[in-house]
Amino acid sequence: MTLKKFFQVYSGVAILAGAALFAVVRVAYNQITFEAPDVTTIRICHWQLESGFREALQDLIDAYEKEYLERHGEKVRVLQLPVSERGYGQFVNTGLVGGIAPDIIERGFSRVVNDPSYLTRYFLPFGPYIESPNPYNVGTPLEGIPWRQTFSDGLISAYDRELLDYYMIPFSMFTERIYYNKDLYREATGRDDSPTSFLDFINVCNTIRDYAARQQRSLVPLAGSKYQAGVFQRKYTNTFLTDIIRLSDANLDGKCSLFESYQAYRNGVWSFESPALLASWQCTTDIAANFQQGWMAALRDDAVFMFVQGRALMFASGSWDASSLLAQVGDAFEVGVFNFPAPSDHPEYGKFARAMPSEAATGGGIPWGLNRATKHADLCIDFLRFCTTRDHNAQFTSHINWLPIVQGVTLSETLKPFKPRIEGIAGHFDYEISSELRLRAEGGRWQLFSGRMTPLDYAASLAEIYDRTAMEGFRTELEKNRRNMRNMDRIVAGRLLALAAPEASDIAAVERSVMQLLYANQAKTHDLAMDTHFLQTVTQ
Amino acid sequence: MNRTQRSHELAKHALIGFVLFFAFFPLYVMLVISLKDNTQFLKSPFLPFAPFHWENWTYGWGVVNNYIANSILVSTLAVIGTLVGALMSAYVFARYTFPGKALLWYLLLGLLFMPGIMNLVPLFVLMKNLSLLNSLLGLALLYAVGGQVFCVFVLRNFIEEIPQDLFEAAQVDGAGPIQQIFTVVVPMSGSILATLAILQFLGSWNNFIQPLIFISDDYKQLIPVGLMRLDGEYVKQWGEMMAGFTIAAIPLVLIFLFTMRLFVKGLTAGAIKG
Repeated sequence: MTLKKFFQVYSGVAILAGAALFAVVRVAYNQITFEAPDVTTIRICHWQLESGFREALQDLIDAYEKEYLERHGEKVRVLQLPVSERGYGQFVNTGLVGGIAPDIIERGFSRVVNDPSYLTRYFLPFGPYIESPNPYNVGTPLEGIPWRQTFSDGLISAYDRELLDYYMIPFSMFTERIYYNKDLYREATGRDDSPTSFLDFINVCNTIRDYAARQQRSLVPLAGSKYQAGVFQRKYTNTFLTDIIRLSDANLDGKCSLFESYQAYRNGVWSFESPALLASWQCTTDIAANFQQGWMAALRDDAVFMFVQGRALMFASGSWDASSLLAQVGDAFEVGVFNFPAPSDHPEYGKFARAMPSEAATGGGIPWGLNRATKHADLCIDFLRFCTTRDHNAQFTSHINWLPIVQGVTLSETLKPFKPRIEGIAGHFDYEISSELRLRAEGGRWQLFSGRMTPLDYAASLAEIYDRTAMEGFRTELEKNRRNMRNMDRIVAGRLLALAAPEASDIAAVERSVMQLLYANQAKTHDLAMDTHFLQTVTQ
Repeated sequence: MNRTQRSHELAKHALIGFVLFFAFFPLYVMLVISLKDNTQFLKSPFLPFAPFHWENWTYGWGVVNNYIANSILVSTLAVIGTLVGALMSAYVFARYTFPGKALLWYLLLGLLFMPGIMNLVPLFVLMKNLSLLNSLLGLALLYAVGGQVFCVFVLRNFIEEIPQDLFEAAQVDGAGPIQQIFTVVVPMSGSILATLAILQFLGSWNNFIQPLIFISDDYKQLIPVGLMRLDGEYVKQWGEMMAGFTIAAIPLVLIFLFTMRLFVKGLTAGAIKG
């Protein structure tokens, strides 16, 4: 056999055998490394693939593993599982159902991690842990303070009003702003200051369009995608609906629930053709007219890409994108940030607009939930406590330029424009009472914002479905609430039993929790009675 | 060669060139971008220019090497499992007569028409009950079982074509069924076995939904899901991502390079009778 022939025959076999050998060795190595019997492993999964997040979390993990070994003389390993948004929901759902989900799960992208009826099945409440101080705060100004109170929002955002317990621990908080290319802005407008009012903002958009036409340059005022349209819609809806919310809010909790909005609808407080509602849609549509053509098919990444390439002057997103964006832009141009201007100076719909929504109640972001099936609940809690000390939260958030959630952490210069805006209106208006309406509203929204449907047509299409399905939706939601009330009664009963048990230790804590439950129960019973009475009245 | 023939040749070559351009252009783009940083990519995505960022390949290898190792292991085990099982079953269907044979055969064929996605939920429950979730061996077993039907279907016909005399002669020499498979069937069906092995390997390598659903740990994950995760970043590092994609494509290119001859032979085997 000649050398050439030998090579022809056996080189392929050698490569395949080599590849198989590499695979076996690598898999065996992983098995030995990650499943060593003397190491306790906990897994933590998230979808935060922004630049720097994984490294920042890994720094915390490394520090924790080291500290745990020093404190306890035992090895612990925290495995980070980053999963992209696209497959995150499926990954978490199947993992939870199959019993193979990670121990600590970032909650989101799935009904299973948000719907109260699933939440209790798959997640452990943090209630029993958060009233005691965080042991890692010893020797710091936060020593002796209950863990809950060391968060800037007092963990209000972690509290589930239906389940009456805390179901997440946050690491950060987020606000949304408009980023802009300062160099290009200066070049096109001849100004240095960012837009000061809504009309000024619209004028800047017009100036940019003229500038692009004059220069024959591919440039748009705003980088757009459905994601970006969503950001504007979130910002420019409630500002128009403040009066409707005030008139519809029967239980005076500052929000207009599905039940309250339906009752108000029946009482003629609002309709889909209310000028304020039409104005809210028109406002977002006007803004979306400044996006690039075909923005509906673009993804969030595409919008980022346009902005980074200098093909869009502005870009609306949250503080979560600051770090990635700055890393991507580098020295290419200077990035500025300004807040969404209130549309009260607009000649057509300004009269319906009140102040912009307040960010005083900004809740915690990166909501970590604790898998009920975990074998290491205490270790997971310990890890979360370690990460939420002032020093570690500062280290983590400064690494990625995100807003800190632990009290007393100083904001960096980069983050100052993202500091939550305290002034403004509060409230929320929810009317999507049936699945059909939700689908229609979601589907039609993009046609509306892209100008292919007028606000009046959109209103007519929603009104038709609302009139037909709202009553059934009301009944369904009411039944859901009744079910939750029954669950709540069971929880109260369980805690009362715990109180009566001879071995009950922290009686004061249990008593406090029972009182909280009963108080919340009372408010919910009142709402339920009102809603039931309304249903009986309209069906008679 | 006259003018008409020359113009025909030219048209043929132009057509082939056109097809090849579209086949190779994505590979070219992948390769070029894998050597750029984001600033170079934003400036000009398609043209190569210095400095070349070879560190993207180091990063890419660091990200995908686990996924590649897992994919190779699972796909190889799946191929072995599939072929061993299918060979035995096909031998039984081809050589033996037993009550209910026709019914079993048609039931087996019926499985060919069942879309794989329909089985996902029962499979998930089954794997959960067998404690095979999040296990590479479990996934290999699943692939091996999933590949049976098609392989049995192809191999049965192939074994039936082997002259009966050969089996009888082996029997006279004292060969049992297993020996007959290894001394008669395997040597006679080399090319079709190689083709089935390649098809099965490709199927396992490219399978996306099953590793996504059945594997949760990142260090156990397979290449299709791993690449999807690599692609999921909000602000992509295009160079690193493309380097990862290119490295991930290399094993398949190698396999095709060294087994193409067997693959084509297997596909055309039996095309000519006699």
